Order: sequence, then structure tokens, then C-alpha cells
Amino acid sequence: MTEVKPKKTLLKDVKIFKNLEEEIIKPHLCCACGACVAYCSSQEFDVINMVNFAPQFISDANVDKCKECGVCYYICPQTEPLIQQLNDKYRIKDELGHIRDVLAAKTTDEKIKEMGQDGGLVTTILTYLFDRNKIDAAVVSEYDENLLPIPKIIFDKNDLLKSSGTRYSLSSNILPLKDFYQIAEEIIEKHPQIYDINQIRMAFVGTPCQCRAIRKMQLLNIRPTHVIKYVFGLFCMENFDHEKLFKLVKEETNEDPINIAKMNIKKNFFITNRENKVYEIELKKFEKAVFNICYECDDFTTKYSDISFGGSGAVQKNSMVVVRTEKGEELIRDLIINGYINKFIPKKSTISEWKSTKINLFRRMTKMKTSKFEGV
Amino acid sequence: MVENSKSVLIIGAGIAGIQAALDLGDMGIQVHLVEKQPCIGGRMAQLDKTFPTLDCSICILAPKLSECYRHQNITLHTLSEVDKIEGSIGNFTIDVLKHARYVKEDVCTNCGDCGNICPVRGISNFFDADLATQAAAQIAFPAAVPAAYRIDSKKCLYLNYGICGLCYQNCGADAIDLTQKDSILTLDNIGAVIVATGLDLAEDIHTLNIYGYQKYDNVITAMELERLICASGPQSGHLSRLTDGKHPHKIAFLQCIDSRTHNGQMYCSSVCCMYTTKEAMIAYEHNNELESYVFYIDMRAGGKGFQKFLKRGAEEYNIKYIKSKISHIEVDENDNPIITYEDYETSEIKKLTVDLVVLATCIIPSRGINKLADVLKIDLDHYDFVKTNPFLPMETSIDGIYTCGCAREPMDIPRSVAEASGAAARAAEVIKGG
Repeated sequence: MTEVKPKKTLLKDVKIFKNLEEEIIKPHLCCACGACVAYCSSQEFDVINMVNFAPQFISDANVDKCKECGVCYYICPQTEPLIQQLNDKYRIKDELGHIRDVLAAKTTDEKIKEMGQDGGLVTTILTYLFDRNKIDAAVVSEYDENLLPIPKIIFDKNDLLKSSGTRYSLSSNILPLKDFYQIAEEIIEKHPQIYDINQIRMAFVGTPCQCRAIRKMQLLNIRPTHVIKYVFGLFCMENFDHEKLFKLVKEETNEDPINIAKMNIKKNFFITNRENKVYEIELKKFEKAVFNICYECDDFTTKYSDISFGGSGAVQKNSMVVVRTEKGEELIRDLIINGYINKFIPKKSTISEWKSTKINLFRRMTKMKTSKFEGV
Repeated sequence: MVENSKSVLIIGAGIAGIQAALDLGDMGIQVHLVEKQPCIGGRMAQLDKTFPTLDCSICILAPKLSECYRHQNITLHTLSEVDKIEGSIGNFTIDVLKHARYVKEDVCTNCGDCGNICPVRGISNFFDADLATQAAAQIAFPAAVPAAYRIDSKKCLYLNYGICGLCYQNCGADAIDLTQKDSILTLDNIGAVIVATGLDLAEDIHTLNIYGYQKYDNVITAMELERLICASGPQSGHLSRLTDGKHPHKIAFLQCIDSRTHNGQMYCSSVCCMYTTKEAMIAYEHNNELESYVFYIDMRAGGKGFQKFLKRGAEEYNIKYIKSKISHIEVDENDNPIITYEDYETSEIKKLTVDLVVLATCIIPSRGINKLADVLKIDLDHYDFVKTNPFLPMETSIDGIYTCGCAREPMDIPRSVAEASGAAARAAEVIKGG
């Protein structure tokens, strides 16, 4: 038997993946964002992977390969560290976070209008960023034929339309970044101007918990998220378990996922099938399919983004936009100037009244999100 | 070694400081060479070639760097700054603030294992004019002297959050010491001081936005070009545009950027006319179809063989010199810069579309000079260069403190070296009781 050499370490009382398992994963507090796996894999440590939306040791043999660096515990969006620093950095004082501007807008692109969820804004912004050579890749998710969301890194605006529209079941959006160094080779082949892998620029689209993880990682400047230049958040009331959700959908509508064209949550759940038949079902009926952790999350408008998007509060065919950073503000201004999006102008009230109504609505929605937990 | 106990402290280990240190060291005088950066060599180490001989810059410099490092009479203090000075000529006592390197300089084998495992990425490297990035465990360039990594204390996860420590785990030589602390080293019996703090560049303090710098990726500075065209630089010497990776066929060189203007520095930066022609020549040697356009106010080539150099540029390297004044720069849909200028020959307003614009930015005093001048109590001139008497150009306002090189005024490498030897001679007089 070979003697196990004790690990050379400086660290004292640092929480590591084993603690993450005990404190977050086993108690079902993990949101399956994939941050820990993406970090660990891009370091080529070969320790953890994601199985059925749960990070775990690849095998018992890999447990000892853990370097016990503690970074995975730090960057997990569900743990305490770095949250205070993030809140200071992004000037977050309450449940809505720092708001530079609130507006409603919709895309001017006919194709996106058809495919997008509300105003088609996220797709339009990514199109603009690709058009103007401001990003080389984007992390998004798209559906497979069974409406299972597949997180993906895309390099081309032509792949964007597939990721248009909202997916209501969980997608581990940070996970594809685990292969950053392989993907980077492909990107560099397409872009001869990139001479250093670390020059690659990406946009990230995700839910509040995923954006929180990205921001934690960015605060530490660690790979693979050091290449993310834009963080776009999505309004998020709750997220569903894919299997449970479509079992309930089948019960209610008798439709298989393959026959469903579009889903949209407004007041109720609207499901459109491929023959354009629309079902309206009470949201309450889907409660059982919701992830437990979503009831504990108090972030509805994605506090940790550059810009957040969602349907809540927007009049038809517009999306609501919450601008949070200077970078986000500049981007929205450029999109309007260059005719990519049209800004909605309220007619019945002054702009400041309109804005405060919307902010109040977001506050109520956030309260609803947290109060659901109390009701369960 | 001549027996005496007084030593000389030199601030700044660029080519001027290094030359002064070597001169004094060879005379048997003890030298303390203090450098703010983690490695020595300064601006000259960043250059690709030198004018007017087109010699490889680092090839000339590297032997001096290692000589300096190995010299029995020279003690090198990197990552260090002068913090306090007391006493007077012949007997100064100086406190040097040594920032922790977190790597044992004499143990590190420069293998790079710490940099490879460090999870922190994307930290820009000053040595590559911020065109390349590094990890938090870093070295400016592989041939740096001292040949030791350092840990960036602002970005290191262990030093800031108490996690990670991967470099420590991965270092086979046990060179990582994250427990190091900044320390003050008190040096007494210093006979003389030489200020050789060198230069910074206009882009460090001004946005240069009328020239589209930082707005258009195909507008770069001369120092950026030096790095891009250098074989050990980020593009391995294959000069290509930052927007699309294409090799440029038409380059415009714009002179007097931020110099000789009321909106920037009022003085002449002195070396740009020459290094621009040098850069156009090197670029031509990389690509013989290259057309270069030099937009100048007037040519200031006052040095031995300098006029001949410019003539060679025009005749053999396809360089066109246009006496002109730049109005502004825009870009077309392919990101090609369009220069609008007044042609002084004809007084016409003209436009020229090129692939790449290179800005000959003004030399400014090193940005730490005000703080240092406060510490040393030496006078600076109107532009923050070290104030000297025209007939005693090495002497500052304080007896026993001398200066040389670009700390005094913008100048080229040969002059910096000459002045360094001058300052060394003045310092030696003090030590040897002349």
C-alpha cells in the first residue's frame, strides 16, 4: 500500500467541497448553476461533475484529488461569503438592488418578435453585441426536442434564435463554461484577432442565482468567468423541475412536450401547442413542480446583473428593462440610437410616475416570491 | 574592492539607473539600486529595436541586467520605494519600503507552475503595454531580472480572502511564502543619491480621445506597436490589427501627440521623430509591401546620423513624410481609421484612409515623481521633471542628490546612458572625497 502524502496546505478552517455537500447540496439548497463544476473543471482538477442537477464527486477515487482550495464554497451563490462585498460593489441596499433606470421596450426585428418571449429584448441585445463585434460568444440556453433546456455557448448570432423565448425549467447555465479552454480554441479559430485566450469576450444570460454566482466569480477574477463582459439577468419568480413540470402539463392539457410551441407565465400559465391552441392553466396547479430553493430566494429582478429583463409589468409585446450598471445604461442607449429596439413611452402618466408604479410592482412581486415560502 | 563604507543609492533601475550602478560598482563603490517594479530594465526592456542602428533592444540590455544582478557591489531592491531621507551630502540615512514579493527571490526557479495553477486570470501586464494578461502569480516577461515570480497582492485570493493557496501547494521548489510582509529597510552612510526615475507616457494620464484612442482598436500608441511587433510580445511579432487580425498594409504615424500643445504638454518629447521612423522601418521589414505615412509638424532629428536615418527611411522603406496638422480621426465600416488633416504644403484639408494609426505619445515624468520629490525635498520644474541647472545638468536642488535620463527631460537611450555615467562620476566624487 502506498502511503498517502499529507496535503501541503496553508489554509486553516477553509470550507471546501465537502462542506458544500453538507451545507448546500444535501439539504437541497443547491440551485444547480454549475459554478463550482465550471471553476473546478477549468482548473483541470478532475474532482467534481454535475449529475441530475446536483454537483458531486466524480467517484470516490476522485475525492482525494480535491485540492481543498475552498474556491467552490466561496463562489457558490447559496453561501454567505462575498455577498457583502458584492452588495457594496453593486450598491445593493434592498430587495430590488440598485436601479439606474426602468423602461419598457421591444425589438424592431420581425423574426425575433415572433420567436421572443415578450419584447424579444435579450435576443436583440445579443444580436447587437455580435453585430458590433463587442462579444465573441454568449452563454445561453436552448430547448432540445423534449423541451429540456440545454445550456450552451454560442459563437454566432445565427444560433441565437434557437435560444429565444423563456424556458421554465432549470438549466445549469454556468456549466458549459467548464469546457472554456476547449471552446476557446474554436472561438480563436474564428477570430484571428484574438492572440490570447483571456481576451475572449462573452455575454452571460441567466437567472438571479446564476448571475449571483457569476458576480462572485468575477469579484475574484477567476477563470473561466474572467471572460464575461456582460451579465444579463432574467426576472425569476420560480423555476420548475423539468420532469415534474411536463408530467403536470400532460395531465392538464394532454400535450407532450414535443407538441408544445410556447409557454408563458403571466397571471396564469399559458401553453400554446403547435396547432396554435392556447391553454390557460392556474399557476397554483404547478406548485408541486417548483424547486424548493426558489421559495427561499428573495431576488426577483436579478440584482446582480448589468441589465435585467422580464415580462412583468410590461404592456403587450414589450419587455421590462431594469438597468443597473453604467455599462448596461450605455448598451441600452446604443440599442435605441441604432434602431435595434423601440422604447415604450407611457401616455397616461408622466415618466416618473410610470417608473415608480413599475418599481412598486417589482417590490410586490418580490414580496410574493418570498411570501410563497411562508405559505408552504 | 576599494575599502570605504559609504555607498550610493540609485532610484530607478531603467537603462540610466543600471548604467550608473554598473559604473559605480566597477569603481568599487557599494550601490543600492531601488526599483518600484518587480523587475529591472525599465522602458528600454519593452522596446523591440533601438535607433539609429536597429539593434535588438533587449539583446543590448539583457547582459547589463544580469551583470547588475550578479555584481558584487550592487544590491538590488525590487518592488521598493524610497520612503524617508535624513542627513546631507556624504551621509544620508534612507528608509526603503520593500513591498512583499510573496515569492522567495533566491529560491524561485522561474518554472511557472504557480502561474499555471493560479485561478485568477485577466490581470493586465504593464510590460506588454496592457495588451496581454496574467495570473495573480506572475512575471512580467520570461527573461525578467530577477528571474522570480511575484504574487499580486491586490488580486491574490489567499492574501485577500484566505482561500486558494494553490501556488503554495504546486510549487516544487517551496519558493512561495505568502506570509511575507512589507518591510522598511534602513540604509545609513549613503554618500549620494541618483534619481533615475525615467518616464511615463501621455496615454497613462490622458484619454487622447480626439485621435480615437481607446475608442477605435486600430488606433494604437507607439509603445503598443513596440510590443506587438516584438518577437517576444503578445502577437509574437506578427503585427496584426486588434479588430480583425489582418496584417496592416498602410500605417499612419502621428507625431507630437499630446506634446507641443496647449491642451497637453507644452514641450517637445524629443525622441518621437526618430522612433517613429524606426518603427516604420521595422514594420517594413516584416512586410515589404507596407506603406507608411508620417504626419509631422517639423522633423527634429538632432543627433549623429539621424538625418541620414530619416533619408534612408524615405528612400528604402517606403515612408512618406507629410508636414501637416491632424484634425481628427474616424473609422469606416471596416474599422479602417480615416485621418482628416491639413496638408501644410498645399494648405488643403485632406483625408487618408489607413489600416492602422500609431500615436507618437509624449514622454511625461514618471508618475511617482511628485511623491518622491516631496520625500527627497528636491525641486521639480514646471512640467514635473527634476529641476537642474543648465550648466550642472546632473545636480538637483539638494547637494549630493544627482539625476540623469528622462527624470530630467525627455531624451533618447544614448543620452540617458551618457548622463548616467555623468551622474555616477559626480556621485563617485562624493564617495571618494574628491
